[in-house]
Amino acid sequence: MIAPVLAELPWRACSPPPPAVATQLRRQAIFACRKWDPQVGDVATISSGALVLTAEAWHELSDLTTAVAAETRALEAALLRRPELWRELGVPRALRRALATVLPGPAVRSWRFDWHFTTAGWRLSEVNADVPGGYNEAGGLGLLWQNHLPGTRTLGDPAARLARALAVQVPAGARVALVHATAYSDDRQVMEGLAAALAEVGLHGLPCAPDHLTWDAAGCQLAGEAVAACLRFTPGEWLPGLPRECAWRHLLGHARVLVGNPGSCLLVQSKRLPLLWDRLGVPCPTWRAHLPETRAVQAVAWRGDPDWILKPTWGRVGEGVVMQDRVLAAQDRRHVRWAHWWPGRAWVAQRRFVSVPWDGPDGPCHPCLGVYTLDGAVTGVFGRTVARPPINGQAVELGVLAEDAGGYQARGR
Amino acid sequence: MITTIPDSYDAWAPVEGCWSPWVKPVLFTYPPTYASAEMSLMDVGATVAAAGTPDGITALVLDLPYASALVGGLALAPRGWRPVPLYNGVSHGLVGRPLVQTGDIINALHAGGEPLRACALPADAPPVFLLDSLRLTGRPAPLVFDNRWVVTPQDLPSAERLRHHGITRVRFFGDTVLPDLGAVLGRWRTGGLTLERVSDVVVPLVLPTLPWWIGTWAERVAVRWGLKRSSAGGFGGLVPEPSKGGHG
Repeated sequence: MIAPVLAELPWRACSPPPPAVATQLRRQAIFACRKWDPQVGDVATISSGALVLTAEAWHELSDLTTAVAAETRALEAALLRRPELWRELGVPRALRRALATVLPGPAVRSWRFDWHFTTAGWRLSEVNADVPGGYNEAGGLGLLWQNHLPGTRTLGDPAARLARALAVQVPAGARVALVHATAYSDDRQVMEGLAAALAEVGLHGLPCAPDHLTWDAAGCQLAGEAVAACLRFTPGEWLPGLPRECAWRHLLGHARVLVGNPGSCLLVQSKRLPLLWDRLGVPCPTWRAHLPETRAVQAVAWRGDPDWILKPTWGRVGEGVVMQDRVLAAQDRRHVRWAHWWPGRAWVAQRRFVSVPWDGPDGPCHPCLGVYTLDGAVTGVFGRTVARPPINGQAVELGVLAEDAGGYQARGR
Repeated sequence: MITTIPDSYDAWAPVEGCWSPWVKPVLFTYPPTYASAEMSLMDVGATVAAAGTPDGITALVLDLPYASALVGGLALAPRGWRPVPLYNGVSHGLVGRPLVQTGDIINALHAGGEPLRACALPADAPPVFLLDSLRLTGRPAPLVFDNRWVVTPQDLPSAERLRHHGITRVRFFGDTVLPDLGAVLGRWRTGGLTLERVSDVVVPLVLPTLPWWIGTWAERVAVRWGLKRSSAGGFGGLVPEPSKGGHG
């Protein structure tokens, strides 16, 4: 049954731009927005259109995200008090040990909640609470498109907001380590964007690898000079693979160095978090209302049932997600066998939702709107679409705007 | 006169070019490091001679050290080949000496824009994919900036796309097929393309044997358990997951 919410779609019709404009926007996205991976295989990853939300839809999405962010923060705090539950979240032993020794210290939390508009209204697929990506696209693509779509407004620049938040908490001119996997240019593009945003507020962003940092009780140094803050983009579950001399546990939190995101955020990033809701005693009505039913793979007959999808506990960018409503690729079949015979804590089963397609410039596609929060406040949106779910590394990224008070009129197609 | 970075990129990736989407923009974002350089180049004359002129069914892969593949690609352009630079590592960090030297490549990318544009290649000129064979060279050490990189199947067109443009054969020029490129070429072979190596003579290309778990979930587990040789940022000898980095 199609819910009444479909009577009004949350977005306006999209009209493709003239080819010359689309080309210009693509070049600007690459060089002005630092979108260095504009092509993945045969897929161009920069959309030739932008998604314009209705004002009402953006208000609703913004309110939902604010509510779910507050609930997530409460869940994180509750989990920090219950270390005996960390193993059930699938947190590796080395990380559990490190998290147990982290002292409270200054921190910022930049999270991204991924929303999908479905036949049952907005549904949440996950929170990226550890190292969310997409800052450049969220801040840049909307801005590029706004100039070509009168009657729209941008929805914020999460990198700029993050920089401004740091500027309030560290001294002027302070050095900020931007810790990432240096061999990935698509991580580096995010670091360069953040460094530029930090420069705008008078801070020095320094892209570096985890082993470039030296730590002691007094603080953190990079090349012999003190850094006031560390923004981490090396995923938390990768940290135990670092050499011991890196003292990587300090990246999870430090009494005197501001960190973002703190290691405790990894606890709420686990896809197994919903399995613990009842035991944490934290009310999370927004999560419960908008996250599809999520079960341990041992607890439900998911195999072969197209109503269930399989998700890895620590999957990112759609990696490892298996949808069973189609002929499975060899790798998907391997994942299914693995989850069936060796479930452990590496997988969860989640009810499939039916997303409502958006009539994009290249045909119908399924949007995912990643709404950022910074310490609970909404700061921007990262838009991605795929011709066929799930959202993965081959998703097409697009600017997301909202119609402003005067209203937006799409050009005729 | 090409004076801006996007202009230089446009010369290598013209709007109408059917292989332009695969040109990697990363190193175009860096300005040339010096006006004239004594580049560490190998003699690409033999490569150019062996490549000959396009026959409509052949694509080339030049995997040569430093900027040598770029020089070879530029030398092949007047013969009708479209050079497609795939250099996807960053140049340097603010800290430490970079493991992979990219200065010559950056210079050649900027200097080569104008001569390439002068070739006025057709939009569907057959591609010469250009790589630095030293992309995985070196071992990370404290305060060394690990800017090694790999090429993945997602960095190149699929076999299907190549065949769509009439390409049925790929000729490899280089000393060794590195494991990351081997994974790409293996997919092309599976997709129906004929692979050949060109040295003194043309012979069928033998690909390196990859561990069965490369590109699978097991690889991520191996990484998580610390089997990754260089987990301080680079990825040592393992071919990483497809093109996405660590962020979610």
